[in-house]
Amino acid sequence: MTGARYYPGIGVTLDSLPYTEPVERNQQTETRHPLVEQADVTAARAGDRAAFGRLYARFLPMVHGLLLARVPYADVDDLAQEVFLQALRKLASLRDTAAFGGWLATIARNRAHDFFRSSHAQDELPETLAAKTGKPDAEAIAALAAIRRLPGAYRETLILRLVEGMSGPEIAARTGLTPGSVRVNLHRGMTQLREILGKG
Amino acid sequence: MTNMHDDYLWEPQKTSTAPDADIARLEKLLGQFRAPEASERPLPESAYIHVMPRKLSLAGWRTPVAIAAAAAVIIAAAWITLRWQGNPVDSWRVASLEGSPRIGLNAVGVTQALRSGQTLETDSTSRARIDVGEIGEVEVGPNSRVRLLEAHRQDGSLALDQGTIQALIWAPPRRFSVQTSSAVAVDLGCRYTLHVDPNGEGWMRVTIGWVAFQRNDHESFVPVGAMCLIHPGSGPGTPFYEDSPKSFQEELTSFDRMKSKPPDGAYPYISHSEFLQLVLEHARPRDAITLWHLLSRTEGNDRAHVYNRLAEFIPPPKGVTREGIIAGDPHMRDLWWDALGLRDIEWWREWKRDFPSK
Repeated sequence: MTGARYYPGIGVTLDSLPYTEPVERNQQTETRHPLVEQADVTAARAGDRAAFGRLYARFLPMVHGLLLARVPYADVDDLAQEVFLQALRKLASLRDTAAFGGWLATIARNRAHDFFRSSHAQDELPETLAAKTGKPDAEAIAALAAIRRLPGAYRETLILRLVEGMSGPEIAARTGLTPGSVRVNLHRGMTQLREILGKG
Repeated sequence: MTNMHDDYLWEPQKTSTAPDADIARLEKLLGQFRAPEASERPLPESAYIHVMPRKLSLAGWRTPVAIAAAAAVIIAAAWITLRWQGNPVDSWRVASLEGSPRIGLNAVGVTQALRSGQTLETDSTSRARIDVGEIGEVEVGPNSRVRLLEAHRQDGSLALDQGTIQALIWAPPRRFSVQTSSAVAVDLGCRYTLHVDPNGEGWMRVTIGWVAFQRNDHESFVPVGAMCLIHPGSGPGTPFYEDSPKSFQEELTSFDRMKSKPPDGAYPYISHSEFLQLVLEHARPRDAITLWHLLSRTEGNDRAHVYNRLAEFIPPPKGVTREGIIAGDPHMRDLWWDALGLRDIEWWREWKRDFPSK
């Protein structure tokens, strides 16, 4: 707003009024009111399929990205569904509905960890990519492999950003990380990724 | 790495400059590994079988039916009074505050006229201000689309198709309204923020004064410090104070959003009524305004429970009986509103208001 005008009707100047940011959790791209998401968690916990379906649609990219940061690509889709099935079964134990994203992310990370403890644990990324996509783009596989060489925190945030197309604020809102942490992870991860790709 | 590139990495939709070439190339390359749409890979039906939700030891529920209300008459009266006022000027002035807001295909300069029927659009990096005749102003946030429906010096109306507006109106009540796909926000002398997503979800927060939010049989009177959500298809949610307990807000939102009819299948379901019980349990005396709105959003035993809880906070005034409230007597409901200390109901509805001469 420009100019400090006095409005007799309310007895204040416009500039003296506190500006109310439209969204509290994430002021940039995440415009959905947190209560709507939390209400979906509450309703899903109460047995509302449609509400859980909305959560599935909203959080699938995050779960997919977190798994892709850790397990072979060919297994990611199936594991993502397993993560949501596990979440559905455990939903009653979630006390803070606002923490759903972070809670789901933990389930996804644990599921990836379990995957590698199981008998079919291997990390043959190019081959498994080929098995799923049929015509893998060699350059894309190399780029994904480079990201997967980064430390875990950088790997996750870069995959959510570059593969899943989420913005920094969206990553923070979905995963429960602070925006500051996500920004640092993105910046440092990207710097390291440039170095790896530059050497390659 | 430059700040510009950091900005693109952080929030590509908000960066007006050219993207970092390396990042853009990686996005394109890696996009082929992106998650499928949820609709392409839905959860199996069997996922919902044998999943038991949290059990609540609450009374049984019954299926709610549609609420028959007389509010349509009120809305019609409001529209008649809104249309009655003001000399037509057919346009309001728009100023660009940031970036390049557009009216149709034309970028808004320092100032420009927005005529009735025209649309003002902002992208992710632009904002604009609309001077609402002589009675106020509206700041249009990024990624918004606003249509001017009617413009006069002393009144008028906008339609918010999507995005965020912040309105400050210093005219007498009911001179300015904003239509959304789900409800009409009628200004009662206030400052408020209204947001609508492309899918029709949204919210309204009142920071000064009061706003009436209406759609057919739903009316929500929202005072300063309160807000209400907008639910596609069902209009304004039940208003609540922002300082109310988190559990209360969540349960109220669940109550508003849940389908009245339980889904079929083996997946158990907690009903409207059970969420209502939780709302009532967590309500504070200050939340009487929310409970009053619930009187017209419930029926039968549910309404009786709301009556009992509201009566604990605000004793029903003379002329209000339990039987009358449960039967849905609108006059008794209005009498009870007057006892809340938030101005009397006729001020909110303006049934008998005399407009000042212009």
